[in-house]
Amino acid sequence: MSTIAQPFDFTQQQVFTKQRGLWSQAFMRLRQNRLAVISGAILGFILLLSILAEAVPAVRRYDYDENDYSVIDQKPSMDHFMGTDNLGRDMWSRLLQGTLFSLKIGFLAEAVVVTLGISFGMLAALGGKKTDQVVVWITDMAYAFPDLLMIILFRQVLFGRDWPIIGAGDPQVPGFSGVLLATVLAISFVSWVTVCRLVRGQILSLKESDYVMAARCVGASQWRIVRSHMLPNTLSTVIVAVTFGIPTRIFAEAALGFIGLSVPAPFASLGTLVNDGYAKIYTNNLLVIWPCIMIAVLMLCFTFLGDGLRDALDPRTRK
Amino acid sequence: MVGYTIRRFLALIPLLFAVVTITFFLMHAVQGGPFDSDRPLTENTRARLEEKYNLDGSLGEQYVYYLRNLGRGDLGISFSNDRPVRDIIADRFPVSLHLGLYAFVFALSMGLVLGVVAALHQNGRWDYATVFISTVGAALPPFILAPFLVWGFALKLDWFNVLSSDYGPISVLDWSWVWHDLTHMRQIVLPTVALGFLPAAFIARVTRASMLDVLRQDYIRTARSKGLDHFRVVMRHAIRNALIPVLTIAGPIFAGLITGSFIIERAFSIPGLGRSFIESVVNRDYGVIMGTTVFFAVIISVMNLVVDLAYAIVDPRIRL
Amino acid sequence: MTRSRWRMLLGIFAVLGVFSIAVACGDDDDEGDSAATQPAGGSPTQATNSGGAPKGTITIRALQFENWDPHFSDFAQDISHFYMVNRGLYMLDLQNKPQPELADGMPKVSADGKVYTIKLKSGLKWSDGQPIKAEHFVAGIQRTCNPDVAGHYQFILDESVKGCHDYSAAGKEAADKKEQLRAAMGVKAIDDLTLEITLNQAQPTFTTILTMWPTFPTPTHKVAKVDDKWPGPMESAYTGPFMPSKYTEKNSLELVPNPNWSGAAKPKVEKIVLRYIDDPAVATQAYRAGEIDATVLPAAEFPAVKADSNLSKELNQFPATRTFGLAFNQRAGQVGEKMDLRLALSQAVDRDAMNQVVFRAFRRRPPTGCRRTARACPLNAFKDQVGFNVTKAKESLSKAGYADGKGFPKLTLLLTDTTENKDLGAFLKDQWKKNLNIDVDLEFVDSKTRSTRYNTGAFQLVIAGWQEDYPDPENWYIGLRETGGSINKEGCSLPALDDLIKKAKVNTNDEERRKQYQEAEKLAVTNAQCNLPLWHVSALRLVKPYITGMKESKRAGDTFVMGDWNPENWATSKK
Repeated sequence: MSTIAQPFDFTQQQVFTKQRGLWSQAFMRLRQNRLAVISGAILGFILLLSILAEAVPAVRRYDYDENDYSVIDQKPSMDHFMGTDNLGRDMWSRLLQGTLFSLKIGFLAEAVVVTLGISFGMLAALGGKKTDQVVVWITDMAYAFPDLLMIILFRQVLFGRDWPIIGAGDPQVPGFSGVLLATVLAISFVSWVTVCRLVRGQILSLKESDYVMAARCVGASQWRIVRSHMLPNTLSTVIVAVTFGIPTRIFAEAALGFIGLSVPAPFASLGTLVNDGYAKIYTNNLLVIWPCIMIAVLMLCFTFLGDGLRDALDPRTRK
Repeated sequence: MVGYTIRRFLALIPLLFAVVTITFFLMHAVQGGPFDSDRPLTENTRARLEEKYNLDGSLGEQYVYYLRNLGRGDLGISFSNDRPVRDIIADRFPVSLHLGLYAFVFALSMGLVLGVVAALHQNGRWDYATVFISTVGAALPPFILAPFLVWGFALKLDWFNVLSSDYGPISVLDWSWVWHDLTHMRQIVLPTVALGFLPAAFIARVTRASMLDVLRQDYIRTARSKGLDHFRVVMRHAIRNALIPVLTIAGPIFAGLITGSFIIERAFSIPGLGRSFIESVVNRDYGVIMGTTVFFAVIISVMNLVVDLAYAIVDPRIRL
Repeated sequence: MTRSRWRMLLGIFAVLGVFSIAVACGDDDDEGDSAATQPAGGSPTQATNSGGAPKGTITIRALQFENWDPHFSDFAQDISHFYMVNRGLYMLDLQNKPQPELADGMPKVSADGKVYTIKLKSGLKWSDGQPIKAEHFVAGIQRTCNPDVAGHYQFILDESVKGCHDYSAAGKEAADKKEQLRAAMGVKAIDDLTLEITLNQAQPTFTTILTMWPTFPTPTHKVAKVDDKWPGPMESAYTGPFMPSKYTEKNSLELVPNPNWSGAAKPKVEKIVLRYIDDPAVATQAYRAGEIDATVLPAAEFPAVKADSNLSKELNQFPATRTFGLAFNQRAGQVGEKMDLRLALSQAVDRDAMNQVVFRAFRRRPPTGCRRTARACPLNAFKDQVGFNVTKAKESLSKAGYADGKGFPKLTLLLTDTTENKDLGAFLKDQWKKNLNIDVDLEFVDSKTRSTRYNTGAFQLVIAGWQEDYPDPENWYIGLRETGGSINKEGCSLPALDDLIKKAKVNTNDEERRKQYQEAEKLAVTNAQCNLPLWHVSALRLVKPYITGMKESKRAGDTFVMGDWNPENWATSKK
């Protein structure tokens, strides 16, 4: 039933535009969404700024772990844009470091989630009935675990042992410390199920769609159908899920800070900054206000961008 | 449908078995034991404690022992206060359920009303108000929202209390808790809002989107062209279909709310299950960890089943 | 049909729809009964006293107790609870001297110091009206030694009371054998009012031990057999000034005066509510909003409270009997094996700066000497030997073989993951880098992981503290600083120190004994043994001005709960 209803006329659209591919059309539509563009720009700016802050001393101005006991609990000034904390560390530099850390968690966890989700989702949808049953059973099971518990247990098991790559000690991957990777893996392990279900559902319904049937009739190979017909149509769903997923992962990491499983000092993540800031809220409320603003801005931007992407990638929801 | 339900229930057994197994071994793989503290404990005392709580055998033996007890419906005892895990869950879950229900009612009513109103006034004042509220809601996770609510509404305005009510058990046979709650509104409002705001925002977004989608469908146009008035079109034709996606997310949201939020329960000092669960992990209270995990797994799985069944009822296209 | 009408209808529809789901799901919680029942004993209003009827309610912030069994628990918050509702033979006064509580006068000690004969006051009753007899105290001490109870404080009686060790070690024996060992213990009830305790060797501090919870009496009419489960708060009987009247786990415990309380000071309030609040920041908010009358103040809020003209008047500061410091793993082959290295790291830490930036000023005074508590005070040994001195620190480091930090081995400081510890770690790391040019790694773990690693020696350096159990210098040495001591987790070992402790332990001459412990303290510090003190804890409290009588003593665990362990002295003038 749903495939019959196509109330919007493509013909009109095509009169005014040249023939374009799925992606360039989507991009064009996205560009028309002012809110999404602005959000994307802000996100890009924050990301760039935090990366630059790590790479260029002139941007961060102070090191995030540089204690200066002569300037503790300062209000914002030209010397310290966002003031200082009780160890005299510059909040501007700490906020940028924390933001980058949280963004790394968000993006990296989402990358793992998507990889696992797409692989298992496709495996389930295309791999025959038995495989499907097994994968569905696994997702049901993963779904039944309390998320926070699993994140805590996985993180605790992964962290602080001599594993390769994610083990304790010096970062074995530059820029990605052991605790970051352990947290990312722990969060990903409980989150991939949603994407897996999404991908499986999408592919199953695509399998029955007319154009896949048509492609099959003209003799396209299975791989070709998957690559050029199914994946692009699945990807739009996945991209939207990722955009909404990143802030969720950042939240998850932040929640860990409340249980005493945060990022080891002197590193910071947005969650740790908020959590540690609360303890000092009556003494220096800026310590908690800055990271809260940063979290809120990130969340808003990801939400607007996600909305924009969904509208852009789904041809049916044009105004 | 009955056959389907029975099959799904049977599938729960291997699922729970897997959940128990994974949790058991992960939990024991985490460093630190329940009796580790900085206080001295003689070797002798320690050995006796481990024997008392059946921690003296090998991991495999402990596992088999736990499974055997679980099969008999025995969830074990808490190491920290010697109480049966069953009693702990029976004490704490009603509290989380109580709070969770309020939050759910709040989230659903606010989300639905805002979402529907916004969709009917697309790009109007109401729409922008909804979009604003739902984006702000989505941008403020509970751990940020709760302290600010307390600061603003309890400390500055003194409309509500900092500490929450004790959330006694609720029941359908004895309605005295309703009166208790009505007289304790000062203690109930803030936790409810803090817990329910994020889901409310989410529900509002989903409702708005799905309502907009439905209102564009041909059958709505048909209904309108038949001359039905606006109210009837919306109530009879639009909402029913627009609710389907909301129903899908309402199930997990409900399960999430009633199983207790560690952060909210801590922020308002509520004796709920969410807090005791996290504390048990921190304390390595193996009995409570396992018991609560099993309990949660059952709740979540049953909730999923209920959602699937409800889905089939509202959407005639789906056959089970 | 107007738009406003359907808007309203829609709202009602949504609410009703949800409510029907809510009710349907509400069935399965009926078994969760509230623990609120009526008090076991007589009505609290019967308790009258010369100072007029008790009036008013005091609500304080407390932490949920873990275990209600005084012969089992070792949690500080539990111990604070025990003293509100239970009392033993003796009770420490504000000067830390044991005074008779349920006992009638001080114990009669035999010439060799081994046999204690104690008379009970006559006419004592439990809160439920049953008479208190000497056999209840016998049962209490036996219970602490009972291998099946496996109490965490067994160690405090294990070596002193005759037969206790044999009994506590008999966990795997048959029931009749255990019974035999229990009967053979050196605790006897001569008659209903007379108790006789035999020790293995003379122990000058034993009367002080008798003020502690492991020696509290067992209500044998509630706990029939020696290894029966201890009854819950609402079911048990009490010997203290108050008794529970309502209990909701994790939420609150309400106490009312015990009508059978025999002490001279009668309760002055009708009710004490212990409101369980985990997060101290939440507690101070509740205090600001007037929902609780007293709470602890987290150090992070100290500057703000100090600056507040009203709150600063309600601030109380007490020295606690807790000292924290650097605990190196001193076992052979460890980095901390070298005394000079330990000294260097201690001397490189500026305690004053630490106090300012980490503890937000004055909360914890840097150790310039030791606490004016029971701890033997070796004058300024701390400051001169291990105190902050960059020149000395650098000298010590080169003596250890790492001049200017060259070739310094990898050293990791293990910390529990808390906000304060993160600041502390960042501070220490910075101090060592700045003053010694060495890099020390920080590792943050949760508290159980830290405890496990600390207890099993799987650490290099931790921040560890010691909280005095009872006010006597021996509590800072026995088992703690002896070679192979049960709590000596650092693996520190100094033969001269061992000798001193061994001598002082059984020395019945009090003055000489204390001198010996002073000597021991000096020895430990100059050799950078076990724990190099960084700060003493001082407890901060906010108490509403209308509350009186919350006098602080300096007993174990005291600083964990609001006010003193003498709630019978508390009063409120709030209407």
